[in-house]
Amino acid sequence: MSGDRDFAGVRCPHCASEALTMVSLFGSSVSEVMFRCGQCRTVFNWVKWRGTLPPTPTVPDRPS
Amino acid sequence: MTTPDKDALGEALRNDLLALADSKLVLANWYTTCVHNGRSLPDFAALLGMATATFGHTRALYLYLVNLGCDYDGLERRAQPAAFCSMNLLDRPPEDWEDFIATVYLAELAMWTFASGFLGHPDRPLAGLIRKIGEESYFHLKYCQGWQSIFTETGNRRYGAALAARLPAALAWFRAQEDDLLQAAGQRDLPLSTLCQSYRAEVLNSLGGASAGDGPPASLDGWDPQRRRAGTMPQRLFEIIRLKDPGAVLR
Amino acid sequence: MVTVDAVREALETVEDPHVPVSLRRMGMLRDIAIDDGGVVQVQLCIPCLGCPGVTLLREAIEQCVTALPGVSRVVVDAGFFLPWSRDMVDAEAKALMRTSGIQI
Ligand SMILES: [Zn+2]
Repeated sequence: MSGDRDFAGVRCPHCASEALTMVSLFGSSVSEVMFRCGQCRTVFNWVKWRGTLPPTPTVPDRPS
Repeated sequence: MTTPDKDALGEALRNDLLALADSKLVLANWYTTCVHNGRSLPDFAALLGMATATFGHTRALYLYLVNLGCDYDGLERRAQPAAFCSMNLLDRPPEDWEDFIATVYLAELAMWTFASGFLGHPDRPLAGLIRKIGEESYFHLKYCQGWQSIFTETGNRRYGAALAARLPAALAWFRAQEDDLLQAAGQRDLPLSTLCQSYRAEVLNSLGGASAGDGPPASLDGWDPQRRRAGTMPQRLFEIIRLKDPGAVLR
Repeated sequence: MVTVDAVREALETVEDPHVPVSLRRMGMLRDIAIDDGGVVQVQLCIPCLGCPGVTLLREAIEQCVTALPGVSRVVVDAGFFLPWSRDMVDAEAKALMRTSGIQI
């Protein structure tokens, strides 16, 4: 998914398309983000937890 | 400077973690109380999700506090508003949607910045717990930033005003006692004053050029350094957060 | 005397509350320790601090392990401080999750 580094490389689990729209930052559980696939039109959940922390003076801005 | 004894250090850590846990308890209740004010389905999902996560942070911190000599059930069953140490920022309910987002953003970022001081804590379970809190808080802040962009795009001035009005109470929460014992003992990565400066810079930066600046500093009247707040939690707020069903502990 | 392997095997029947996959395959089962008195300590790694399923999981684990001969008591640690990432989920579980609309 373009434009948002947090969702780089997310693909539809059904058709592998990357043409996605993020529907909700919180999906059917706290650990999931909800996307809609522009190709096959299904809605799916994507598991978060990539280890990204918010910025703080004790941690570098973002792990790359 | 004399070396602080172990008891004083233990108490300082207990106080700071309880202030964090209690503030999260109140924030979680803000989320549940305001679910119906959400503007769309993603808001409802987010508010419920952030409530669940934030209650979870409270539970995990309370469980960790058991290692520091606290009684878990005792923490959950506190029956007096004076026994709680939540931040003053969350005492007054939101006035409107902009104020809600501004306050939640200030609270989430303050709690994370404060907590991040323990990312390098010598007790690895604490450091690990803080890291997990951070991973979850990341998405709470991302949600706030989504609304911030909308406010910016639509030229909403109410948001900036609400943020500026609430900021002094948020900054006050970082107040350190004369010496930051935990930092001096290597238990906090950076002094509270540094964390506070970084917090303030991040908040003002989030407003872009539209900074309204800070309001006057929050009053020191009745400041209790142990509980990291001034005065007692308002009775009305206490009625919302108190444990109503003794069977329904967070565990 | 009950063994760690026996406990591990018994716990194969306890599944993640969200997905019908065992805790082990979800990367959520960590240390198991047994003392001389037959007290079994089971350490989990719960991915979300607010997981509403923790209580259910505790009960399921206690029930499952207590049923083993030689077990006097079961202590479950949620392991809230342990890191969890999708790399800890095994390939078969990932494939199952994808067919049910969860991308991991
Ligand atoms: Zn698709």
